[in-house]
Amino acid sequence: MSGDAEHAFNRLYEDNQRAVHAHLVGRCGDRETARDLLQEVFLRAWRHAGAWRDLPPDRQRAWVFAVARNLVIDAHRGRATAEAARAALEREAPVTAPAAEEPEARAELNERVARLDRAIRGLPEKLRVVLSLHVAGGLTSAQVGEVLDEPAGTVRYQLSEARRRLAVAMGAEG
Amino acid sequence: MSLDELLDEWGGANRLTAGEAEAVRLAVVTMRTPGLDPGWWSELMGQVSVAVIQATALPASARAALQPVWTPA
Repeated sequence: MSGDAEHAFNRLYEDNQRAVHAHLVGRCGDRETARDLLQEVFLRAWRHAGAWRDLPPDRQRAWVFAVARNLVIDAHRGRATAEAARAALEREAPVTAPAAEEPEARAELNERVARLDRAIRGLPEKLRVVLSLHVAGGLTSAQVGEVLDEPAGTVRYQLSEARRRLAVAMGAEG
Repeated sequence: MSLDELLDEWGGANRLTAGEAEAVRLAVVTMRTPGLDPGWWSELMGQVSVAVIQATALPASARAALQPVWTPA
C-alpha cells in the first residue's frame, strides 16, 4: 500500500479505534475479545481502503462502525465465538483499576471497580453498549446516537437508565 | 467515591493502552498487501521446479520438442 494510503489508514485508526473498541467491549463484554475484533475491523478497512478513503470523516466513522456491527453479528453466528463471549460475560470480572498510591486503597478501589464491572455485565446489551461508548469510548450522547443511529435524547435516557440500574446494583451488593 | 468516578475507572481499565493500540495497528499494516494470493509463492516455485527439471533431466531432443514453434517472418 502506498504511503498516502497508509497515512489515510493511520488517521482512520487514530480517529476511531478507541470508540470502536468501546463499542466491541459493550457488545462482547470482554476487552480482549474486543481487541481481536478491533483488529479484524481495521484489517477490513486496510484491505478495502477504496470503500472509505474518499468519504468525509463522519461517514468514514459510519463505515467502520457498520463493519464492526457486521463482524459482531458474524462472530455471534459462529458458535465458538458466541460461547467465548458468553463465558466472558459470565466469568468473574478481571477488570482492575489503575494502581492507587496505597496498597489498601488500591485493593479497595479494585474491588469496587470489579463490582461495577459485574453490574455492567448484567445490564441489557443495549444499555451496556451505550454506556461503554460514552464512558470507555469518550463519545458524547450525540456522537453515540450517530454511530448507533439513535436520537441523542434516546441515548441520554439510556445512559441515565444504565446509571440508575448500576446505582441500584452497587447499593444492593454493597 | 461516586458512581461517575468509578465509571471513569472502569472506562480506563477497559480501554486499550497506547501500546496495545499500536500493536493492533502494526499487526494490520504489516499484513500482506491485497492482490497477492496466498498461493502465489508455491505456484511460482512450482513453475520454477518444472523449468529446472525440464532443463536438466530431459534429453536435448525432448527439450527441443517443448520449445514453442517459431517461424521467421
